Amino acid sequence: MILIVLPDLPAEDRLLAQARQGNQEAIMQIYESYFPPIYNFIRLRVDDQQAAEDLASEVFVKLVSAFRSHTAPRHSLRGWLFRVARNGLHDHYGRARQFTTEVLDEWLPSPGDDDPEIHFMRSLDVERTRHALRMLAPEQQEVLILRFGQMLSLQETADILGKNVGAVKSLQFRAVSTLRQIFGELRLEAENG
Amino acid sequence: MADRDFLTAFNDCIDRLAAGQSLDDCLRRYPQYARTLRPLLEAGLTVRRARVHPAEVSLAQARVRDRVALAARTLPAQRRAYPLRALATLAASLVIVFFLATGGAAIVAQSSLPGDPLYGLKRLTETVRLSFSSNSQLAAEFAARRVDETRQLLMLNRAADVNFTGEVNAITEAAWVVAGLPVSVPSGTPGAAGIRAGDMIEVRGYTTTGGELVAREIILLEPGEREPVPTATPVPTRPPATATLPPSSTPAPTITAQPSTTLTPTGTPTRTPSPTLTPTGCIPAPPGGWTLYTVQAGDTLSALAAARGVTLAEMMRVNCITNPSLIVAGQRFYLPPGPDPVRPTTAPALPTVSSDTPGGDNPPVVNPPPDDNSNDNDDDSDNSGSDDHSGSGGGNDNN
Repeated sequence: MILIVLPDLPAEDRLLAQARQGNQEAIMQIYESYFPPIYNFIRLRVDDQQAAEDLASEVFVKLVSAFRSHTAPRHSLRGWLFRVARNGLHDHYGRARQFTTEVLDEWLPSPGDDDPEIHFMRSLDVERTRHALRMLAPEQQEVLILRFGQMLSLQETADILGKNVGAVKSLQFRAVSTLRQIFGELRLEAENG
Repeated sequence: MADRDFLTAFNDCIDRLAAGQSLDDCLRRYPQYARTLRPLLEAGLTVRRARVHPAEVSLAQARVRDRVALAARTLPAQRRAYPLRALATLAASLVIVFFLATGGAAIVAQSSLPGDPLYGLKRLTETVRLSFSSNSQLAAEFAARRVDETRQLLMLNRAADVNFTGEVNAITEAAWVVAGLPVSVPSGTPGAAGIRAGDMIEVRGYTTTGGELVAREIILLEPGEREPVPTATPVPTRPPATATLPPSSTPAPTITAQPSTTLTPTGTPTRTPSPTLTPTGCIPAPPGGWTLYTVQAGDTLSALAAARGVTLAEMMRVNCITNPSLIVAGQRFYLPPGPDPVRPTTAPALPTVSSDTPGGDNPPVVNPPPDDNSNDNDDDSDNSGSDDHSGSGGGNDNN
């Protein structure tokens, strides 16, 4: 039997229906459930904590506005939120294109293992992983965060990125390959001093 | 064509990882690609580690909450659409059919906690079950679950929003005890005034990563039977006699809203949250000198027990652990003082590499040194991607 992840879409749609009726409790419930993934998504792409918080805040204030103007989604709330977050990020990059990059001097490999490459990747800590991730093109970062980090489906990811599933398949492959290459470079750097 | 098959296999593995399967599970399905897939998927999995620290998320969430609440308050309240209810019931029955088809996911959902992806599903299942019966015992059972979930969140030091009902066991200056759980009730918490021990209340609040449970709002569901105590005096250590629950007999008529209905203990007694310790209501009870230990990647309970000179059984008993193979990094336990356990050099934060995979003898599949520096990865990502694939995949395709 193929294991499928059962999305809690019925619950989500029900909540949405209540929120569209102006039910504040439902809106806050949406906020409580979806703030963490949205904040994670934004924060992984924005180094500035305050900016990330503001961007995340904007997403939910926009959602409330959408309820007010009756333009809120009826389904796939999650996709809607990620799309809005993504648009916000793109605006933000317009203002501040460059990420801060840190010095790579303390990238040390761990002692040998069966497969040094995999061992290296597993030994990476949060900061280093985040750093490597930020060296990717924005779209590649997004696809990795959505597919591996947020565990969204191919279709959901495609909807958020505005691509067809075939394109996302290729994109996620390129993204992972590039990330792996970055790790490879970092490892070489670390080994050669 | 191999390339397309490969992309499909790759995508399938990502789906399986998202569904909670291990990397090896998936690689076993695609032996011809396993060697190529592994490093790629491992690279992708590192993204999970890049997650933002939960404490930072909770802080941001708390700071932004007011802004969103304020915006929500400006919304015009609209009439309640009643037909919606019928729709919801319809949707609910569809969900049941879905459950039957995918029992696995529903079972997984049953063990989820507030904040987990499947938690909404769990609550929905319960709503559905309740809507199909007016069984007060069922309601009590679900209420007890809320308390258990909260207790688990506290033990795991996870931040999430919680909502549970229970009897106020005690009110002290430092904290309240509700359904056996310590609750911080900041002064000025809505609904907190006038609540006494013995009252049945609903607590809406949140748990913190520091293992604290804080109330945001208190709702009085049903006043307990009161001794004529007019002022909020320090609560006696022992709750009023009417509220004291014998360990196993009559479940107090707590969750149900009608005190007149006497619940006769029929069938399996549904245990309502009570100050008495029930098996599910286990509270860690560290002996003197035991301190909190934070689980590191690579730790196992048995290794910890061995390092600290206690038996596994005792550790499990003290810490209310029921499943010793289910511990996660970051979880905290009480342990007697002693050295840290020896951990494997490879932190098994990810599914372990099966030893039968050739890995040591093949040339490292790392790409050659970059021809230029790493800061323009955006531009050559396409090239590097396909090179990488054909480069490492080519060697394996003829297996």
